[in-house]
Amino acid sequence: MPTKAIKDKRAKAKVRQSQLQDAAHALRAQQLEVLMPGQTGFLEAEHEMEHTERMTQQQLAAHVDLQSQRKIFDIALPDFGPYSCAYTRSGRELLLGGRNGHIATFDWKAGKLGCELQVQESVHDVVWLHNETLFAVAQKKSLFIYDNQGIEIHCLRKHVEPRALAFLPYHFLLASIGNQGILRYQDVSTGKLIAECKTHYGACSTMRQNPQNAVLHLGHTNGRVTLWSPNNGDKPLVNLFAHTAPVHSVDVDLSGHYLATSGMEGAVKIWDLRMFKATHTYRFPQAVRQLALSQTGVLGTLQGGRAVFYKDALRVPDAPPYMTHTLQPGQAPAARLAFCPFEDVVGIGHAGGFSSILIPGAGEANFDTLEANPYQTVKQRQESEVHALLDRVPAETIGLETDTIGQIRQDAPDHDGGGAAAAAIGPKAGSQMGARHLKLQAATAAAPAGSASPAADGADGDAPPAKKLTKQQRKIQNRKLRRKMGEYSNVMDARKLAAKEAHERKVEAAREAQEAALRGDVAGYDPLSRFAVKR
Amino acid sequence: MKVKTISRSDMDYCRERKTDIYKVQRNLDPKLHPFEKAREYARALTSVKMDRMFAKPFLAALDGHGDGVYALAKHPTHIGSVASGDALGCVKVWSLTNRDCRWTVQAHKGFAKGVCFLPSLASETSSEKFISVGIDRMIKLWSVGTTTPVASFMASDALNAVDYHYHEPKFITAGTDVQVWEPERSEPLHTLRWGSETITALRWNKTETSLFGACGSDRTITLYDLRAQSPISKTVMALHANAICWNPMEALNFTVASEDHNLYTFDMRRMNKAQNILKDHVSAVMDLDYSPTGTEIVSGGFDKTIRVFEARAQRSRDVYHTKRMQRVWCTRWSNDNQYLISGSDEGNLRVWKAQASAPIGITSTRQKQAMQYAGALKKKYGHLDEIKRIDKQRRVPSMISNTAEKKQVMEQARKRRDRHVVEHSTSKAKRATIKVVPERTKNVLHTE
Repeated sequence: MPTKAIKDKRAKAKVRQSQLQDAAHALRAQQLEVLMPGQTGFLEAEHEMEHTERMTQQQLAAHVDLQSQRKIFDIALPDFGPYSCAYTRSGRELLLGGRNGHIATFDWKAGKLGCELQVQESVHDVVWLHNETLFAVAQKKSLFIYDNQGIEIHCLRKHVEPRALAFLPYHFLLASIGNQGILRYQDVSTGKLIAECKTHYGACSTMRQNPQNAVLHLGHTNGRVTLWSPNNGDKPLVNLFAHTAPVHSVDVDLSGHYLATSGMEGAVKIWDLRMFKATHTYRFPQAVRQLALSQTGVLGTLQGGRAVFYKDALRVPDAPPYMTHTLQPGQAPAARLAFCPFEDVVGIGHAGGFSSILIPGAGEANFDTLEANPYQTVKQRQESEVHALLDRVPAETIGLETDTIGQIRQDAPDHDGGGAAAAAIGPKAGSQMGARHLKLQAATAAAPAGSASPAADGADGDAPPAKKLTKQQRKIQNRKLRRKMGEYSNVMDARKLAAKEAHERKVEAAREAQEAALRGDVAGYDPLSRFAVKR
Repeated sequence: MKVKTISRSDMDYCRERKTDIYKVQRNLDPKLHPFEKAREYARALTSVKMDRMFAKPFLAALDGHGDGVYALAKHPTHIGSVASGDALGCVKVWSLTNRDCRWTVQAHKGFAKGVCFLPSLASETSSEKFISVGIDRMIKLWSVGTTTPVASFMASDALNAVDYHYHEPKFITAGTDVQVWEPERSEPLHTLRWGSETITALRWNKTETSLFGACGSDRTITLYDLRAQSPISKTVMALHANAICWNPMEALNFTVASEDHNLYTFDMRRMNKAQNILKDHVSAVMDLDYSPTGTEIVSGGFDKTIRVFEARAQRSRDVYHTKRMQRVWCTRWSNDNQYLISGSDEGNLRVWKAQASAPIGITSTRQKQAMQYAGALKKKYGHLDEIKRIDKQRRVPSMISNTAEKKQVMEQARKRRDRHVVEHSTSKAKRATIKVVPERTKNVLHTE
């Protein structure tokens, strides 16, 4: 932002200082990159006859080190599948939930079983809470929370028939959606149910969060994808007409810019969430049941008995498959695909149990100890838990815009002096920062209802309601207007005086010029010039 | 095929033995740190709340004076030594570490108006010497521990203040004129005066050590240079200045405590305009002192409060008061930048923390780092409403808040009236006569 236009010296200095600071931080971050030890993995063909997508896990195992070889394994659990699976945020622990009621946790690298339990009713989804000590399970009738010993901690009966779960780690919110089609947000730090949003689109079993702004993305059976925050009542933030058939799966990438959706008609669409536009579409003969995006943007899809991975799917249209993995006969159908954070590992939950396979280049190579640490000790975990609770971000701030704290508020009351009315935004105003998406919705509503173009719901597409002014504000506005109309002609201010003087000078100059012309003492003055055609 | 997968060795990321520090690996990619600003804001909010929770600035009240404490001096080299003089002529030397009176003497008849230590380089306390002056015209040189003065001189008139030179054996006294003395001589070296006035306060410059400033009862601030043995400038203020103090780091800047509730900072090269006005007291300011780094100011006054200012700010950053503290006559900032000392009308010395919520005693490195981080966050988000509100919130006696409110209303009314006069005078000639005088020059009547 150029500081030239800022008139206030103090504000200018502050802006400039913060800009310099930002630049210094960016430079420092760049310099620190040298210190990062990890390099992203890769798999490259060395000549034209080699194809990476034909490489099987057995062939791959021959090329990698012993430690990586151990990451390729199968857990045969044929009786309770198909399994849903989830990794912790650091990627250390794995949680498996079999449809027929078997739940187990693992320290998967060490091959250590954490806890194992049979709930003897259907299990639809599993999710870790803020760390590996607690996890939530969407069971037949309600939502349950267990600790790492498998002891039932809570039964949340208000979450009726949950089918998909999501945990927002920075807000400590556990969200569920299920057969009722009601999205429920439970604050797990206080235990309060903070929001119930009726989607009105019937049963739903597809939910993922945007990791950058904690907005939840639901895929509905009517082909729509809706974006939700707990602060917008029963209205979604955005309503996308994504597919012409039921939405099977959605996922958002780590940067929060791209959304991948798959529909029953066999299409996978990649959306740019900054524009809400489908950038490109893949079509398959068979519908993609599950898809997932890795930290580095590798797109994983489950197509029947095969898992197919695309490396550049987010950026390049028609990207060729990067790798494929075919499930063994007893394993199909596959139910769930999960990328392990900070590892080149993908977990596939299927009818025959669970398979862990290697996809080089899928994981972020360098973790941040202070954010998600795979090598965390118990002491560190306890401390980070306390810090995370202290730094909890209020749920009221969830919205499409995240960077609102400290920004200039656009709807700040204009003070009498006019000019730039600036009020810095605290976190409470964050959720009201919907101006951009409202505008966007209005624009999308106006666009012709095309097949792939996103369109806003009729109700949401309305322009924002006109701001209602208080009596005082109306008074001020009227006063301004009257002043403009010249009612206070006796009130002189600097601006008025300057205008008056300028006018007088102009009149004087014109008069003098005329007199000089009449006297005829202007060099090169032609008296006939007054009749010349003015161009 | 070329293959590489992420494969980490535990040795690289785990500490070898329990006594080692944890290995920390950072990745500053913003993608891995969502809600960074929101989380920082939450931390800033917590830390500013913690600050207010732990704000317990009052440390000790030292009692023993039979009447109001009118003079206070800190030892130039011993942090724990403070001398004070009261309205009954009694002078006491205090040990702040033990919080008790080390030595006391009936030094003067009537007010003991000024005390100052001699800068002794020897560390043993037995050689501690100080000077006291009183309105009985006596200047007495004391050695702590002996009940009779080492030397005593008689001045020509009642004395209001005394200050010792930074490194030379010289001191100045304030009476109807300024006199420069040496401890060995019973007659003053020089007598300096400009006009007829009574000098009420004076202070040496600690950096340009031959300069000193004095406040006169005829509303003047006079600056003297000892090299020329003459006054160099004189400024008349709208109201009387009660005390003066030089900035220890910025040699040419000084601040005066004025009777009009404000403190005025001047650059001695441009005396026609105050560099800064520090407002918040609601009654006359009686004394002030700079912190040793020159960045902060402590002042005390007739409104029974002590206020701490950042030297460049316009408003105080903190206010200290207690139920029992009466009008504050003298304040000092300790040389280790940790404590404030005040002497008040009811005869007590009080010791305060300079940073209200700072911990006392040894702080661990982790604690220090956490405090620095919290400080940086508060600075970054301090302009936001919620944080500003919590940070600024102080409970003061209703007398002070009511008076402050009244003062604000009066100030606004005055400003509004001035604006209206300008706006509603239509004729050019009339407008030309109206001069808008900035507040920084308004209270400086003239300089010589």
